[in-house]
Amino acid sequence: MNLNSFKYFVNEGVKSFLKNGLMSIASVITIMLCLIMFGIYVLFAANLNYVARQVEENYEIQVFIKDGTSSSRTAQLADILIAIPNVNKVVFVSKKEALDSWKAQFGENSEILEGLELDNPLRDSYKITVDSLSLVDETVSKINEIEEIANIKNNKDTIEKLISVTSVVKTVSFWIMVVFALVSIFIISNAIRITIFARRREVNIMKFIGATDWFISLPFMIEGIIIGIIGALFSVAVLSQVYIRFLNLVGDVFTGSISLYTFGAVAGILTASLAGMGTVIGALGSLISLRRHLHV
Amino acid sequence: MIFFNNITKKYENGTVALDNVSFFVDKGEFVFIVGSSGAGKSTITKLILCEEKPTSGSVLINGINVGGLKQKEMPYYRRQLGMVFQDFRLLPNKSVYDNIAFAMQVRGASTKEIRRSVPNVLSMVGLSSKARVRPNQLSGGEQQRVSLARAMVNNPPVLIADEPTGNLDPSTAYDIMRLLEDINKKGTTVLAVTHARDIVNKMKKRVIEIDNGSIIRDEVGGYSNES
Repeated sequence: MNLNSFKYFVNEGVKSFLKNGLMSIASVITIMLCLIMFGIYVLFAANLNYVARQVEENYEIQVFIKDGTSSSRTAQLADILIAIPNVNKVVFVSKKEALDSWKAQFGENSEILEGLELDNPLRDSYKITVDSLSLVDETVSKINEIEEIANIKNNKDTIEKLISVTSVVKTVSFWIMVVFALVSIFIISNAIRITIFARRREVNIMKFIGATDWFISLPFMIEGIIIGIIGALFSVAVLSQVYIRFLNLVGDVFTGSISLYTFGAVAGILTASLAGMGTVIGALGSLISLRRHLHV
Repeated sequence: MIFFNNITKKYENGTVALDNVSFFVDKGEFVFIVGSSGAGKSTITKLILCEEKPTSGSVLINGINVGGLKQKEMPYYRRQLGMVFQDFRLLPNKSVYDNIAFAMQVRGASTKEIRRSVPNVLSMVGLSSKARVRPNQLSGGEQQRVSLARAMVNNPPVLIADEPTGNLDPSTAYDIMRLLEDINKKGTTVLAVTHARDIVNKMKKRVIEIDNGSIIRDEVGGYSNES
């Protein structure tokens, strides 16, 4: 394809898009709605992965040590624990430290804990972080083999539940998005079909003067892609507003060690994936229509 | 150049449009195909254009077996033919100049080539002054001249004219035929399908007359013996 033909294709595509006024607007709106769904899915999935990663990073097993274990043995346990596969870091928390942090959590009401310093019921413990959440079960059973271990606090089940629930939500939103994509492809193929019908005489003439299928089809495909990309731009605009508002709304919930992506952090990937998706839907929609109605 | 070899064309409804027709048109010839409507004339153009495939026999154009062309090869084959139709078939939303340029664009011609060739053919058909005009602002004769210019602009070896004067008054029709003759003099093989008796008689070219799907006459001269 030379530059001359390329200019012709783009020109024809743009002209047809503008000429089809209402139909083009309808197609842009449909594709925009589909891409908003897709965008929500992308944002949701990205944040879900981001949160899961943070949860995983912050995940720790707390290993309590039996009372009466000598301090030298307790110290030795650190080396034993770090030697267990999948154990990443071992931090000692003395019973005094545990009580202090407990008190801190009680804040003003910490007086109920007064007197406990004399007979601290808490145990010395180790906080262990792991390399991989999926290997935690083996790690825990290895730790259990150590005699001096009283018990192990492990939130893995809760985290797994959280992850499985979110993966269900992820699957459902994925299928909703697929349905929207199919609807958009249908609408666009319809819009292009109308264009083809309006221009069937022209298409016929093109065939007689020896235009190849591609030559005839490309303007229609470009029209579809224009619809797709404009729809994508609108959907990014809408999503950015919605997402920023959403972040303000839930800002209080996500504090501390777990946070969501800022819009700036996802703007690039969001725009790229929506524009890509818009292009694919637009091109596919016109292609379907071309194959069925152009008989090229 | 154009060779119909024992062509039979039977349509799905049972009509036999051509029955074992054979003829040969040499390079540089000017041939009229005549006959009453329904005689099978238009089937001949359809077979040449590859709109229809023969039931039996083969059509050879420039050595290409047209019936054996694949869908993909069709556009490239059609570029070797200049086509002129009764209804002109110009693109309504393009100017005269752009209509002709389009036939070159389709082949991937450069802007430079287009700028050189289009004014040339326009002056040949005497429409240089109407280059920027839309087809619907032209008379029938002028529109047919545009379509002739478009057919010629790529210098095809063969020009097929299907009832080129069907929509024109006699004197305009004669002008168009004269233009076809000029094109033919430059070396292009011309095959004109028509039932314009007066013009055919005046032109004194080779005439193939078809009746009921068969060739009943093939000789140089007029439309038919009795005229």
